[in-house]
Amino acid sequence: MAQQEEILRIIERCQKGDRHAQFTLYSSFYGWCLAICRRYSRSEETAEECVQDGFFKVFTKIHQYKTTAPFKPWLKTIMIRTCIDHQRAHFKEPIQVELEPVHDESGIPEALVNIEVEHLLFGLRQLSPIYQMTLTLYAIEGYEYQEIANMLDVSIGSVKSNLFKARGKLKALLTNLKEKETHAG
Amino acid sequence: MQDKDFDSLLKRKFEHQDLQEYQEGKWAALTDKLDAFDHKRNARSKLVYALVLATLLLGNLAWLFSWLGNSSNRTSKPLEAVVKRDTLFQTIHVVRYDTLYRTIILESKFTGPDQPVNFSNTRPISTKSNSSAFPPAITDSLQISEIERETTSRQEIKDAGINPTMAASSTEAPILAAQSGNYKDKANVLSPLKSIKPESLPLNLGISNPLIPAANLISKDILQEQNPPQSEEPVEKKPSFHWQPMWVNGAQALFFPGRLEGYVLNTGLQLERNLSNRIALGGSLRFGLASAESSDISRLPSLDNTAPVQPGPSYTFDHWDVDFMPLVQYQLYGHLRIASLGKTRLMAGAGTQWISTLPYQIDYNYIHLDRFDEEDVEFEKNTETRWQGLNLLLQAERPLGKKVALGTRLNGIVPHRPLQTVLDQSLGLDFWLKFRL
Repeated sequence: MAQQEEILRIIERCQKGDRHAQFTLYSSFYGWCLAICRRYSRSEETAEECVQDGFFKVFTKIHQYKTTAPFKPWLKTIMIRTCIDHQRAHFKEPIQVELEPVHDESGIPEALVNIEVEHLLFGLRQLSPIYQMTLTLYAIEGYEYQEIANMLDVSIGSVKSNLFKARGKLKALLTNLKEKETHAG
Repeated sequence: MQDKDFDSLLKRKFEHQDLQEYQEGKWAALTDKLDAFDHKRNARSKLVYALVLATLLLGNLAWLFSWLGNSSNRTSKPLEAVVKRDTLFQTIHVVRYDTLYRTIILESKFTGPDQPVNFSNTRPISTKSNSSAFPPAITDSLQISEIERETTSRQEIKDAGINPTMAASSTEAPILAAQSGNYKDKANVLSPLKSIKPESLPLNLGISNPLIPAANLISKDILQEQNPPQSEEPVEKKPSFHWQPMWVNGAQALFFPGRLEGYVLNTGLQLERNLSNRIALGGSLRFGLASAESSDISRLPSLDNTAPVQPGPSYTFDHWDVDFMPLVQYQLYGHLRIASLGKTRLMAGAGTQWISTLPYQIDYNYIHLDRFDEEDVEFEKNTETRWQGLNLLLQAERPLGKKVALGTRLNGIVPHRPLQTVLDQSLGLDFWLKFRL
């Protein structure tokens, strides 16, 4: 509660164009925003670009923020939309890695339970941009089909289809990656 | 692996990832970008303001020039109208007809049957060689004196050796009858004929067809004179040149150093008079009550800067306050209509304002440095003081009916010279009801 009040005070100063307050906000939320953008970007450089562009939008549109609403979801939405805008041109790119999708109904393999975030990120970035976006928006952020369809400007049917394919391909990728690691180890 | 399990695995993994710290260079780049954006936005807003001001200025200049042009035209227009009416001189058509008539008669002697009549070669002939009885055909540019000369009386025709009974045929009779009247009457006598029958022509000597269709003999000028066209110029509504009384109420915020409180409430009467549709002059007389409080001793609410008597050396000044300072405000102003939004008229103007402060009481509050108790020193200001400032006005007015209008005004005051008074700078909002007598 106290943290939210502190954030609101900083935001009020940001709305008046106070650079120090902007810096406080930037330094406080940079890491968190970068973590979001990495999930939606194809590379680290793109993720950092998205963070910069996202903060630029935040500071130039901060007068539109209503202090009655929590700040973090507002900031997160801006970051995600910035990433989507960055990737929109690549939505129709062909899939880079062709693997047979895995659609088994058994439990999570032991190999994937202990998988590291960096491996997950690597796997996500191997998917096509539209698959990566759809899976991240649905599985990690928890958006509904309709919301994802609106954000990505596709039909609900496409969202469901992309989600199904993206899951299958990511599982195959991660399993393949783990197997390679095991053999190498 | 179930989809839900896989999704929750992804979510869990990404929720607990390590967060990176920001980089100084990134922030510097973002700051540069924000500075550039601010600069661009400021430049854009300045450009918009400049464009709005330029539009207002050009619009008002254009209006001023057109107004000046119209006002100079207004004096010359009546004279021009008289001249036009005179030049129109409907007898032109009478003369044409008359000329045709006489030409036909004359040419019938010179040209044979079925030969076209050459008007250019017509010569007035009479047995007495009286040229004045049959002048040459006239043109549209005929002068008034010439027209008058062209009019011939029945006696003159008779003198020319033409049988007046024949001459006064159905076509010429109106002409002759008209000659005793004025020229306008002559024009009215002429009624449009669809055609002139050959047998109706005097001295029918084998001319099979009339040379000029009768319809052509009726000029548009006659018809236009009978039904004068409406002027295409928009008729400018005359402004009301009466003084219009207004009941005006206002509130002003006072701005002075160390201001803790400062406002004026006033009510009074205002008179306004239009000089044109756009320009008006007015004046007002209002009674107001000011309330002010300040922690700054340098600017006292009086004009003479009288220093208050301190209760003792251990006291320090805290604040002064005036609960009710009675004021009489006189204002003279002029304003110009700059725009109209539907029925609402927007006006900008300037004026001058005098304020007389009536006797009032100031309380000076001191605090004892050791005991921290307060000591009030009352100061009576029993003399009237007068203050003058420049008014800048921005107002909007909307008629509520034929006789009543409601208006509001942003009223800024700037002093003519820097004075140590709480009334130096103020910004107020006035509301009024205007009654049209």
